[in-house]
Amino acid sequence: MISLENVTVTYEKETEPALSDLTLRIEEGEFICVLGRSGAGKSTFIRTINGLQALTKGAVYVSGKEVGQLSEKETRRLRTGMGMIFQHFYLIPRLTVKQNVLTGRLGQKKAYQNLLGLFSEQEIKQADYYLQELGLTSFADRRVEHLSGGQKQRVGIARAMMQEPYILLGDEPVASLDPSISDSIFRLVRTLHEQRHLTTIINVHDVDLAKKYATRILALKKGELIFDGQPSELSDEVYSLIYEEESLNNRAF
Amino acid sequence: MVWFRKRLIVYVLFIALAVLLSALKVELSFVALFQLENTWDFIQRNFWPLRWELLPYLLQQSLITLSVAFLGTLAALCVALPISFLAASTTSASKAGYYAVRSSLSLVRSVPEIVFGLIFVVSLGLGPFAALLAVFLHNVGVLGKLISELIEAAEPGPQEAMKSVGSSRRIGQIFSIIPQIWPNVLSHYFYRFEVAIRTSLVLGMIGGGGLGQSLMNYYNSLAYEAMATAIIIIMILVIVVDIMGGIVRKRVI
Repeated sequence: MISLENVTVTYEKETEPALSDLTLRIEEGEFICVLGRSGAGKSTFIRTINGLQALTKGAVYVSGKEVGQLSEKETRRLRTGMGMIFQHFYLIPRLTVKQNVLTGRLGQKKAYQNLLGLFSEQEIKQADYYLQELGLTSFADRRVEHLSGGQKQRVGIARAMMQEPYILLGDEPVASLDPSISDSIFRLVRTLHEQRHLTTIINVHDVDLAKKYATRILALKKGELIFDGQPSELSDEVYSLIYEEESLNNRAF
Repeated sequence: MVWFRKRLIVYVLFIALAVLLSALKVELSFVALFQLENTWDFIQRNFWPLRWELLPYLLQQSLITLSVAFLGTLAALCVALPISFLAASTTSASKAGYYAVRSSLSLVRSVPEIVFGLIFVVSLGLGPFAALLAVFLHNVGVLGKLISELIEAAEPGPQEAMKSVGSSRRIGQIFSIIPQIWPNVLSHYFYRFEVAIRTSLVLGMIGGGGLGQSLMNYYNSLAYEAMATAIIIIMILVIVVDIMGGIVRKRVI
C-alpha cells in the first residue's frame, strides 16, 4: 500500500544523500519500526511518505498515487489520512489540550469553520472519546505547555487520531521521554494500531522497543537500507552493524 | 581577560570618533548646560498656579487625543497582522512578494507621522481625522515589521504539525503561529499605542485637534499656566495607558 521506488534525497549543500536508492513495499496493517543512528535518514524516510520531504530521485506511492505528483489539494487530502507524531510533540502553545486535539480536524474542514472554531457535535464527541482513551480527560481544559512530556505526546497521538487516519507516522516520538513512559506510549500506539488496523511506521532509537512492538523492522545506515525483516531476525551482528561507530580515520576532527 | 579581545579597542575607538563627530554636529555646549537654571526659573515663574477650571475642557480634548491614538493603532494592527504574514520570509507567498511587501512597509515607516500629518491637514482639512490617518499609516509600517519578525522567529515545529494534518497553508500558519506570538503582538501594540498618544499630541500642534492643539494654543497666547495644566493631564494620560497595557499583558500571558 506504500511503496518506495529508488528513492533518493540529497539535501541542499550536502554531498552525501540522506536517503539513497531506497526501494521497499509496506503492506496494510504492518507495524514497522525504523532503526538507525541519528543522521541515518530515518526522519527523512518518514517525511517522504506524507510529502513533507521532496525527493531528489525516485517515487513514493501511497494507495497507488505518486506522492510527489499530487496537486496541493490532493496532497492535503492524502495527509488527512496520515496521522503524524513528533519527537518534540509540536503542539500549539497557549491552546488547551482539547483545542490541540481538535486541530487534528483542520485539514478536513472549510477555512471559515476552522477560523471560527465551528466543530460538529460528532467531532467534539470524537475528541472527548480520544481524550478518554488516552487518559487526558482531566487535563482537557489545561494549556498544553503545563503538561509533562508523556502527557504531551498523548495529546499528539490524540490529535493524530482525530484525523481518523489509516496510516500513523512517528518521527522519534519517544526520544525525549523516560523509558517507562516510552513503553506506555508504544503500548497505546499498538492498541490503536490493532483497533483501527492502522499501518504504523515509527522511528525509534531503542532496539528493545522495536523488537517488542514491531511486526517488521527496517534499519538505515547512512541513508541505505541495511536490514529489513522480522524482529526475531535482528541478530546481534546486524545490531552492531547498525550502531557501530564510524572508524576514527573517517571522522573529521 | 577572557571577555575582551584586541578587536574591542578598534570598536571603542570607532564609537568614540562617532561620538565626537556627533557632538560637534549638535553644537554640544557645556556652557548652555549651566543655563538649565533658566529653564527651571521659567517653569517656576510661569507654570503656577495651575488652572484647574480648564479641567473639564482639557479632559474632553484628551478624549480626542486618546481616540486618535487608539483608533489609529488598532486599525493599523488589524491591517498589519495579515500583511505581516506576507512580509515574513517563512510565510510569504513568493520571494518577489516578500520583497515587495517588506519594502512597502519600510516605505510607509520611513515617513514620520508629522510629515503625513502635514500633508493630510492640507489635503483633508484641519482636525483629528488627519491625525488619525497619519498615526494609522505610520503604524501599519511599524507593526507590520515588528509582527513579521515575530512570525519569522516563531517555532517551525507546530507549522509542520499543521501541514501534516493536511490543513491548507494559510490556515496552518494562522493556527500554528498566532497563538505563539499573540502575547508579543499585544505587547508591541500597547507600546505603539502609548507612543501614538505622544504622537497625536504633536500632531495636534500642527492642527490635528485634541490636547496637543490646546497646548499649542496656550503656548502661542502665552497662557503658560493653562499649558502647564495640559502637560499634567498628558502625563497622567500616558501613565494610565501604560498601567492598563501592563494589566492586559499580564492577563494574556
